[in-house]
Amino acid sequence: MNKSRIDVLIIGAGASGAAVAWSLADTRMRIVCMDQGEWMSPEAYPSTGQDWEARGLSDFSYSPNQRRRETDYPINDADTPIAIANFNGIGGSTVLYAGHYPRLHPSDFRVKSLDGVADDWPISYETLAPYYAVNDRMTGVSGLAGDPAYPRKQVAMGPLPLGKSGTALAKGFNELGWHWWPSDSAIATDTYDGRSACINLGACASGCAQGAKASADITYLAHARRNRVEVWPRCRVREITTNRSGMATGVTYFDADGIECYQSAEVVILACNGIGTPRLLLNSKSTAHPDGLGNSSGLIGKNFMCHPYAAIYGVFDEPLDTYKGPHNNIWSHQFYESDPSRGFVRGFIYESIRGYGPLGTGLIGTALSRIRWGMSHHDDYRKLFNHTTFLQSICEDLPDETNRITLDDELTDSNGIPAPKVFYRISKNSQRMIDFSIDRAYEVFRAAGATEIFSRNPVAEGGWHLLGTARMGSDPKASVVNEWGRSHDVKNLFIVDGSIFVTSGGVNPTCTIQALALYIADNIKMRLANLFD
Amino acid sequence: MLSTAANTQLDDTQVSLLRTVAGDMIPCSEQFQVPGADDDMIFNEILVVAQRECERLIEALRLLELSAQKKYSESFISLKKNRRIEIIETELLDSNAECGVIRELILQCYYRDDRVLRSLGVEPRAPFPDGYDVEESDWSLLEPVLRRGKIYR
Repeated sequence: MNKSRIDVLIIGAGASGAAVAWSLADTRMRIVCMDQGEWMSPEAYPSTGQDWEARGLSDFSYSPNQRRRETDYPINDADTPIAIANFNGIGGSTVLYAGHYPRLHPSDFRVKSLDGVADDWPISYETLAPYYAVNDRMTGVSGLAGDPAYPRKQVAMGPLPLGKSGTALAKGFNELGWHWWPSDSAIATDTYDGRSACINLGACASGCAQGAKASADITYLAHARRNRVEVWPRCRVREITTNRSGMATGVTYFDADGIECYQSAEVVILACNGIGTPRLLLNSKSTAHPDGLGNSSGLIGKNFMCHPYAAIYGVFDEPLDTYKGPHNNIWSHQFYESDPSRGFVRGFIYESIRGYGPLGTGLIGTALSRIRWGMSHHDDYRKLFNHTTFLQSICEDLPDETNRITLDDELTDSNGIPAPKVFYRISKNSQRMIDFSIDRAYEVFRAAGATEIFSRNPVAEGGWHLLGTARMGSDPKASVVNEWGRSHDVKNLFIVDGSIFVTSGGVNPTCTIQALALYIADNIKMRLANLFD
Repeated sequence: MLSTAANTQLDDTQVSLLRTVAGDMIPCSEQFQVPGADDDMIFNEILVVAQRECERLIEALRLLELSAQKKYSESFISLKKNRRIEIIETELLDSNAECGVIRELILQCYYRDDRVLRSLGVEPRAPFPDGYDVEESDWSLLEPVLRRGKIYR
């Protein structure tokens, strides 16, 4: 590593860090993207072994606390009904995400104006639309154009197959006259940009050995490196340093050997997700920033949103294809837009998940008492295995300052850096939405011919979407970054990850996180001459 | 016989208890032609995997034993099978999260055994590199959705 001064230091090589790095590479500045994780080896992904599902309980678990890799930091999530999920590695959580890739709706940017709750975003769907389009092309989104749930948009490739599970559910939605559509997915269904087409491994959520799933290490970062962006793995940042005038000067970090190092930079960009980013800012206290860097609003870490999920399972007499094929299948936006008659504001989507493999069936079936122990085990198990598909409702979480990320008083990572602590409660509005979504999903499964239906709520391990903890806005008293991602307090500090979401929408956020990162990168490029004014 | 290679930090009493629990949870079945989770090969795998979560496992086994003592004033192993299963059900399915490690351990080793997978009609192989075939889609199912038109604000 050449440690001489660099122009742009990006902390985090996941979805947003990779996207902003790729876009800024146009400027020919010296750009370094640091990550505490390491490069992933697709040949070591779980789907290359017969124990592929079991590794989801150990080194490829969603939970950093269960995974416990050297590259992970612990998260105190004892005080939330939804455990935190992430991955620390080059590519970040896109290594493990399923590749569900919905955009926000236009209405998501105007929730205060339309529904009188939370706040409007300082930007609109139309602002982001061109960046969504670039992002879809860079990612290689598969899907089917013409979805009536969205303004017109293009897709790069045809959709993933419906298969038996998707066909059964599609018929159920049709029977009720409700919307469904093949999901936009960050999974190549054809050879695309050097990536191979999906071969239905069925193990998307533990890394794609085929390289069909668009994790950020093989999309944006592959291109960024060709444009001279440097990626530095195994660099764990302890704090962002500042000078007397309050500008960021660089970072102090630990290398793989635990040696403390310093790196100076002209511009620092944070891309560590809705937990890692507030953790780092709160750990970067100084005389000029006693409550954490860029925290004059007091909002860093507050308004944490994470999308409470419900999962609703339907059992069918005929065999399905639950473990064959990508998890993604179809979605329904039938209940996305607000309808006061439902007893809650805002809405949710259903995403259908094809189902589980042999271990997943056992875990979920026994956890929900659908599979007993003892002699009944085999009969119970065989009723569910390859006969159960499911819907997940992704419910919009509205911002609430009491839901927050703080620093734990005692827990630290292996370098002694204070770990994050999560406090989160599901609001009454969200709970009513979840309950409604479960009832409607039962109707779908009944219409589809399921013989047995059951559910769980919330999905306790489902804290995949980490949002809102350094929100964007034009008022420095009510937001952490401005409408183009620059800290109100520190004019050479930017945040590009899910922290800056004003509201959560009711869809998976990765597509929007990456579009926002591209939008902020464009703003930086357009303002280079007076970036710090 | 169990391989000595599968050494864990469990002592002999704990290994014996774990094996009884495994066989109780998933017994062999002549009907489905499958071994139980206490089968030599599967249990050996269980002991190997157990090393990662040994501390939690020891605590979970202690709680099972405690439960047997509390409820029937006997050691778990000396109880009749139906009572053992009752305790397993109570400890694994009620609010006792500590015992979840036993459930995860037994299931993950059992449901990757070649004999078990074959009996389920699953090829005992890694998904990669062959993947799977998924049947073609009938996109005409979308016609009613398209007829209803735009649904966003």
